[in-house]
Amino acid sequence: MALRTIREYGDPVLEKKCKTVKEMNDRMKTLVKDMLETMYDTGGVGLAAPQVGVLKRIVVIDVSEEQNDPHVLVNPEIILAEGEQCGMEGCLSVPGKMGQVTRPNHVICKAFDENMEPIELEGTELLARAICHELDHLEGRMYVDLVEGPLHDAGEAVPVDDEEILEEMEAQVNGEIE
Amino acid sequence: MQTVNEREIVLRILLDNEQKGTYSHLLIREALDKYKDLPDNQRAFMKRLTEGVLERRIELDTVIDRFSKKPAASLRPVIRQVLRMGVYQILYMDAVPDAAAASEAVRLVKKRKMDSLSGFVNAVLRNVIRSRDRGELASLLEETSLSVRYSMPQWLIDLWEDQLGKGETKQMLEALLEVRPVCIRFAPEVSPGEREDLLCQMRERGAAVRPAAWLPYAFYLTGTRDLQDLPGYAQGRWTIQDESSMFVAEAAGIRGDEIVMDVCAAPGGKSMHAASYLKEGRVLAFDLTDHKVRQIRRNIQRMGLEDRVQAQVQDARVHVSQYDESADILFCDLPCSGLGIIGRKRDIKYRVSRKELEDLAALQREILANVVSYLKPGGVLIYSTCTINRLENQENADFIEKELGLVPDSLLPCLPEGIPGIEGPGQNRLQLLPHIHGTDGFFVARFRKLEAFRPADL
Repeated sequence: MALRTIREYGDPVLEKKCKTVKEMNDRMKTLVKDMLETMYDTGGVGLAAPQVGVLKRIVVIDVSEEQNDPHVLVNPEIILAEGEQCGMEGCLSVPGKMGQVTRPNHVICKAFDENMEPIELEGTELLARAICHELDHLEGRMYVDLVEGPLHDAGEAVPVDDEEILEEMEAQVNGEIE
Repeated sequence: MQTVNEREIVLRILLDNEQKGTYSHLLIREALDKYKDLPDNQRAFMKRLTEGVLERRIELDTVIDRFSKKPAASLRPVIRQVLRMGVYQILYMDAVPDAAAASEAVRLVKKRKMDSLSGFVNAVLRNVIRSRDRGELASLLEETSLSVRYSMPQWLIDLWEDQLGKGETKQMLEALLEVRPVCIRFAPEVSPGEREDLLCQMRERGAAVRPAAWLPYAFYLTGTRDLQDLPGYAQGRWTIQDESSMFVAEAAGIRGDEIVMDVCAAPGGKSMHAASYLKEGRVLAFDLTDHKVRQIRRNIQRMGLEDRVQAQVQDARVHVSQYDESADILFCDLPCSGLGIIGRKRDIKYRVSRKELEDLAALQREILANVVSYLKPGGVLIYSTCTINRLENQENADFIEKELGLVPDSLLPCLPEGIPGIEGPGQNRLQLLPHIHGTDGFFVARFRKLEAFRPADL
């Protein structure tokens, strides 16, 4: 097993449509293991094969708090998408950024697992969001094209005019709170 | 896909606070605004972790120093802050599993391409967990000084022990570490019925509301986000103001026809409070800059007090003779060291210096000496600060009496019955203390200019 290098926004591999997986050979099994390891290592909740430079229809997802509930989806297909949710998401291929994206709130997806057994994965909220985000990668689509409003710098404080801060600060120290 | 990592945001805030010196409460407010759509519990986690690391900094560093060969002070900033965050979660956030506190810390370090230090971070935090579990950490901390236990710089403890005594200081240090809830003031025209109605609606929106300690129209709000969206705020039925600062308008004993002058008024809480008691008079609210005056005006507008409050830019250190003998009531709520609001602005305690306390006391005296002539003979001056420091408070009250020639005027008829701590030659001074009064630390004093007042130098 090994960590793979994550391809970043601007890399043409991220704009291409991925190919169907015909059989789960050893190379594909290693890829799945590496993708899981890479996702956990970087603190992601999902990763698609093109993000590590492989144009195959494979994604891995784990939205659990403990990061111990992995889903491997081979040749996935959304068969139901309903409702709506609006919230922030980011992407390992667009480091340091976050943006607001509207997604379906409930999706059902059919796929094959790492042993090519047919499975169904149903998700709401974060899991539904992750399924949609990762499956978009297989079509060469990135979330940045869906962002409503600005693309934020993740975790970085918004820069404020210094004088403004100073005055605000004095006002606060001198008087009422928040 | 990646989701918002709250710890990443907290780390960013702590680094900005440490490196750029931006005040933490401003950084927290910005982050909460920016991540408005995060679930409440994630936002609350971010806020608590940031504030916790700041308010316990000295204690956290002492724990780190116990388990790291290199002291916290000489670690790289990222590593130091990640360790502080980890130790705080382990010691003070029961909902965070120990293993998560450690593994998230490791992840933060790895993400910043400092893989070589992730083992060190992991080892320190694992040792903290083990030592806590064996009870060693508790005994280690018991043996440390008050400064470590309450994360208060030693010189401030010395100052307070000198001014208040040891016992009192210890109780106050304890109280200053408590989380202070937001306090709101209902406008006087809001009837008890309407107030109950609004409080009910706030509760329906998930807010916990309880009466404040002394004033019937003051309430504490907890468990809420986006106060401005709560019912009645936009309509000016209530505003945000700490109960302690409401004592200023109360101390003035307003009848309803006075001219009130507020020389350092932003953001306008006390001016609006005073105006809400006026039927005919009006309030002149001054502050130093356009920005502050705009802030006052926005608040006046929301509270529907445009006809009674006039806000304008005016430097309190500059004398304007047209205002001489024009005010019945003069509010001097002056810039101060803010030691009474450490429970809200957690980095104040690490920033002030002894020299600054002296400079502020001198600035306060400069302003007092400049504006005292604005008072009509027979008028009332209310001096207030949000600090706990004799130099800025009681000694400046002495200055007003001895040097400016005003006489002490009793607070007893104006303030809630039974309030402890009213002191001074004419029962005219009150130092509010968090462990006694349950408010922010705040000083208020009342003086009167005699009818036959003639300043010595005229």
